[in-house]
Amino acid sequence: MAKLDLTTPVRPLLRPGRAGPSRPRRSARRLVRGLWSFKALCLLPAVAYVILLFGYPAVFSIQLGFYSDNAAQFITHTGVFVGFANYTQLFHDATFISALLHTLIFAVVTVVAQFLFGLLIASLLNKQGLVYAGIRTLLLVPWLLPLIVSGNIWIWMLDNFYGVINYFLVTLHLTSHYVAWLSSPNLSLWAVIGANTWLGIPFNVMIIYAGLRAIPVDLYEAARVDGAGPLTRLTRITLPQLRDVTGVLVLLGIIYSIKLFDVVWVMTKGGPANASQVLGTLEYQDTFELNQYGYGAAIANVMLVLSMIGGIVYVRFTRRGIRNG
Amino acid sequence: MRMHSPGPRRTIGLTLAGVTVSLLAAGCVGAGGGGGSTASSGSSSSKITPAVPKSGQITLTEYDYYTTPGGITAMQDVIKAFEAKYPNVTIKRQEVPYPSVDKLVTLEEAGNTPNIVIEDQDYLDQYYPGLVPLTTFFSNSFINQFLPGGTQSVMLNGNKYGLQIFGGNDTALIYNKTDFAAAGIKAPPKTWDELLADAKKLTVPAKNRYGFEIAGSQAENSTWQLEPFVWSSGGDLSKPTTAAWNQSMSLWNEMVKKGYMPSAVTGWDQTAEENHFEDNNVAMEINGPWNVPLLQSSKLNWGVAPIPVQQSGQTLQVPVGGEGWTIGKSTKTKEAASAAFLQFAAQDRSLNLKAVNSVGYLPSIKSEISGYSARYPAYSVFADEFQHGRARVYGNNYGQVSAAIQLMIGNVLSGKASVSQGLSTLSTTVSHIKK
Repeated sequence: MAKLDLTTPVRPLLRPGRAGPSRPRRSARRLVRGLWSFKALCLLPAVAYVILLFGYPAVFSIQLGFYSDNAAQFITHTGVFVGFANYTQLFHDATFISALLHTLIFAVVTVVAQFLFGLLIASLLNKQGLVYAGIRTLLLVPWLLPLIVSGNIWIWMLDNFYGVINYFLVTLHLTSHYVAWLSSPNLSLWAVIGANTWLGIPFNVMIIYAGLRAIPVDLYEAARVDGAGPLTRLTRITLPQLRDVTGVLVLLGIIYSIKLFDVVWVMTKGGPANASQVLGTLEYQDTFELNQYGYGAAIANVMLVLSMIGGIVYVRFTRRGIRNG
Repeated sequence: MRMHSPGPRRTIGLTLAGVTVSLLAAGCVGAGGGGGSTASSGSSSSKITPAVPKSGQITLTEYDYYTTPGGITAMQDVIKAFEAKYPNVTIKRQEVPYPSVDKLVTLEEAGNTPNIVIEDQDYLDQYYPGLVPLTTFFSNSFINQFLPGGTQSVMLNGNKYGLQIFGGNDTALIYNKTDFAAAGIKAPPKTWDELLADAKKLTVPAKNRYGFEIAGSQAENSTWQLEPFVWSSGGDLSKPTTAAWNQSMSLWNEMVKKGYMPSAVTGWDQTAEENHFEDNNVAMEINGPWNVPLLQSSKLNWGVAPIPVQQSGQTLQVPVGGEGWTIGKSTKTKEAASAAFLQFAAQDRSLNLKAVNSVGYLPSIKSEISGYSARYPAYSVFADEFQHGRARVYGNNYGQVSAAIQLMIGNVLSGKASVSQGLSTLSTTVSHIKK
């Protein structure tokens, strides 16, 4: 979706004092008034789009969260208003609490791991030349694959019997027996986190690489003249200079993790015994498998609030970034 | 009474400008919801005869998920034959890949219920409001041509909604004859003791080969596979603390603990389970008749036996799976014509038998099932068991009970809970679910 940015070119004209001092004030004011309505007209499609396709479903979901609806009640319009009952039930539901916890673990671990791997790979590839450009392109492949494909590849790699991961673990004598990666309640969450980290690394590499390119080379040269070692250069130049990039990656990563569904659904469906259940999969199961629409909507709304907190922080952060820049 | 009355809709105006403030207000708009008429019992005296109008063109919509090549052909053949008999009727088929119930619920909510609905009976409690009870059109003698297990599976609130016209399915013990010969086992196990002993003999740790497997992933498949064990030893869904439950789960648990069954089954659905059987990782599995074509095209030397019972003499009770053919609410003419289509599809026996076989199911019509084993020997065990098939029903809330059972199975088999802990938690959960 293209971002409609009308503010930048129009702004000078909105300030009549600065716009054209030579023009008479009256016509300038008329022009401004005309521009306002023109601006509103231009915004209309975008506003309608947002209201219809984001506002309406969001409001409907919030409303549904206060109702008892299951599928049959939904069809016959016999759902009953239950106030906050769905939410009360939610926070007494051990499955929901554990899904919330899993989501948080998921968010923290993937974001940190993706950033560290991203930084490492981006630093290694931060060189000119065709070979490096080629490797950078190849790195994007995991990101370009449809998730259903990469998810299934991971299922095969992690399979107990014929998975390549178990094959190497046993051949290299790292374990004596096959590990049930996706079927063990102690491991399934970590197996999915691993797969998701792998999926997110290319994106991190690309963003961090762009950030690294933007750091002036003279900073490093000056530091080297002053006798700074590699570690000092990393902690005193690279990381501080990547601050904005890091912020964006962390916040986007957290938002993506909160709404996470696809990887978990493809790989474990939240099982075994809810061991890898996250908010997204739990919401899907309660809504579309147990047909508890009201209860499912309540989970969705909790996710919405969590994502919005992340979103607000993100917007604040980027705004500050722009101002600073 | 049967006409779909729209009832007060929960309208959210398009005036969403002041989003946050209006949210709660919007929530209150729909509070007076109670209008829509739910399905009324059709068992009253006035029956409507299933019939196609004598004159005038009529178009019926039909909704199903028979998306396999065999299923598509079977459905198309029936529709073609019906249209040939009644040229003034056109049936518009809509095949929706499984799982298709969400789309059906959406269609019903919008007042666009298809005239003929063929949907997974497991979700009847979700989509029944758009349906007309069968007794509106059919006499009990017509309905009783079908096996009770199938008809009861498509029943809710005392109303019969559907018939398994293309048949249904169940589960049995599928075993590898080569492995049996190698382990010196002459006949498939009949009791749990034999099952356990055979599983032990068939387990070869050095070759990473296991004796037995089930589909234990957190989905309906795990409940569906546990049910024959629980039911055949006298257990019931409403009381999960009984001996039947404890013994069934102890059997499965022992299989894992002793290493006869891979602990990984907690992540396997029935497809993954079948793959491991066909790859010769496991020598015995519980699975359904839809695997017969796959097994026939594999290189395995395989056999099918009834699922072992706890003690010899007990009657095996397997759950019935499949989908009901149901009639969607519309005009009286269209409903009667839809009923005529159901009647036609069931009464043309040769067409019906061919359809059942090409879908890979077992016939639900009593007169067809008795001769089915002789006609299609590969399905004989499944067909014999199917005659005593039992419906998976728990009021309107089977889905919730099953979800709790699935969780219990996962917890026990993965060692997170003991059998008694798992069952006591399950019992607490089930006691809160309305039957």
